Formats: sequence, C-alpha cells, structure tokens
Amino acid sequence: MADRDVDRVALAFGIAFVVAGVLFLLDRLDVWELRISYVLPIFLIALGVGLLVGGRSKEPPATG
Amino acid sequence: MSDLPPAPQTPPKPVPAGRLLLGVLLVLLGLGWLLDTTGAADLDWDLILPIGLILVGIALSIAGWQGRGRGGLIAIGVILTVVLTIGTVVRVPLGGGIGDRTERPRTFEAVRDRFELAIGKLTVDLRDLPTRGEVPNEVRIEAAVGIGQLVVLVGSGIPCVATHAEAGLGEVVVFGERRGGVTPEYRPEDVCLGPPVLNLDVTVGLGQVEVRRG
Repeated sequence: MADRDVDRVALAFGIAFVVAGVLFLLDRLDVWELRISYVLPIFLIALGVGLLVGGRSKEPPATG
Repeated sequence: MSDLPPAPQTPPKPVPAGRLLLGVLLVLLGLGWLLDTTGAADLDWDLILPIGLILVGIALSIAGWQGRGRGGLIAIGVILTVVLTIGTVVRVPLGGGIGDRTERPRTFEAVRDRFELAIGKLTVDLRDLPTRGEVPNEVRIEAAVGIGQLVVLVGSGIPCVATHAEAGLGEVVVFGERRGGVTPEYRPEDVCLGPPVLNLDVTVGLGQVEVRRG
C-alpha cells in the first residue's frame, strides 16, 4: 500500500484512543490504578503527539 | 409517456465509518440499558465508556490504514477521552451519597471498608480508635469524596500516621502543610518505627482534603 494512502492523523488518533481506552479499562477493573497525577500529563503528551503527527502528514503546497 | 432514458443507477454511497460506529454504539448502549433495566443482565457501566473508546480507536485505525475518511470518529474519541479523563480526575463515588456526613469508627474492624461520599463534606473522626490492648501493627484507611471536602481527624494516641493525600483540583492540607492547584499530592515522608502505623489514603476529586490532629 502506498504511504500516501494511509491517513496518518486517523491512524495516530486511533492508536492513541486504543491505548487510552485500555488504560482506562484497566483502571476501572482495578488491575492498574490510573493515578490523578498521571492522567493530565499523559493526556497532554497524547494531544501533542497527535498534533505533531498531524502536522507531518500535511503535504507541502505545490509550487510553480 | 416520456421518451427520456432511465437515469443510470448510482451505487449507494458507503455509510461513513463514524456514523456506522456511532449507530452500533447507540444500539449496544440501548440494548445494555434495556437488559439492565429488565434485570436480565447486570452491566458494569464503568466499563462501557472505555470499551467504547477502544472500539472507536480500532475503527479509526482501520479507516486510517485504508485511507478512508475519519467520519467524525476523532471527535467521538476526543469526547470519550475527555469524559473518561474528567471521570478519573474527579472520581465521584456514586454510591457514597450527597450531603454532610461524619464517620466515627470505634474499632479497627469498622475501618476496613472505604469511606465514600459523592458530593458534600465527609468527616472521618478516628480519635475514638483504641490505642491500647489488641492493636494491629498497621492499619490502612481509605476515604474519598468526589466533589466537596474531606476531613480526617487523628487522635494523639496514634503517633505514626503515613498519609497519602491527593486532589484532582483543589487543596491538600496534611498536618498544616498545604498544597494546592491542579492534582496536588502529599506522599508519606515519615519513617514509622513503632506500631500502630496508620496508613491513610485520602482523595478528593474537586475540593479540599485535610488531615489533622483532633
């Protein structure tokens, strides 16, 4: 599959949502405690990574 | 009668992934609610949103890998993440009730259960706990308030109190030491050598948690 066919933003958000969902699920099942002090930094990191990946996926404007 | 040729049949447009998933989620949610209401199943609603977020993530990853449209899936995922994050930061113990309540345990058996209040002021008065006789070496006490104030009063008969206190948003005051803002936390620093050691784990989602000598 050609690289340009892959929607990187969607893929990045999808993976982030799966990881976040698993962490929240483990927390709700009392398998692993998602402490308050971890949640907000992780949320910011995920948001930043999403923005960075989203920025990379934009193709430069055509010239000439 | 018209002589116009019949309009060419266009293939039906595929349903966007976002709408499809939202539909599936709503159907599952409705079914679950119905089964829960009729008593046919006992669902743990705490698990519904994380599972929904995982499903959104899987659908979004597949759509992204295939280069298909996102169809609002990112918006749904962001909303679910924000709701779950708020739910984790402001842990509202729904079963704890609303209002002002004072708990005054007199035995160590009475502090085994976690003290909880959803909204209001919860005072856990530990001054009546016995300090002589058959006293366990270590006692763990947990208390949580979703929104409001949590006050824990410790008697002078228990010299060693290891406290872990945290708030989602608000203030933590442990024996006069104040910490405030977003996710303030106090971790035990004292090394306790002599029993009984009181291990306190106290949490408030939004508001103030205070531990002090009574």
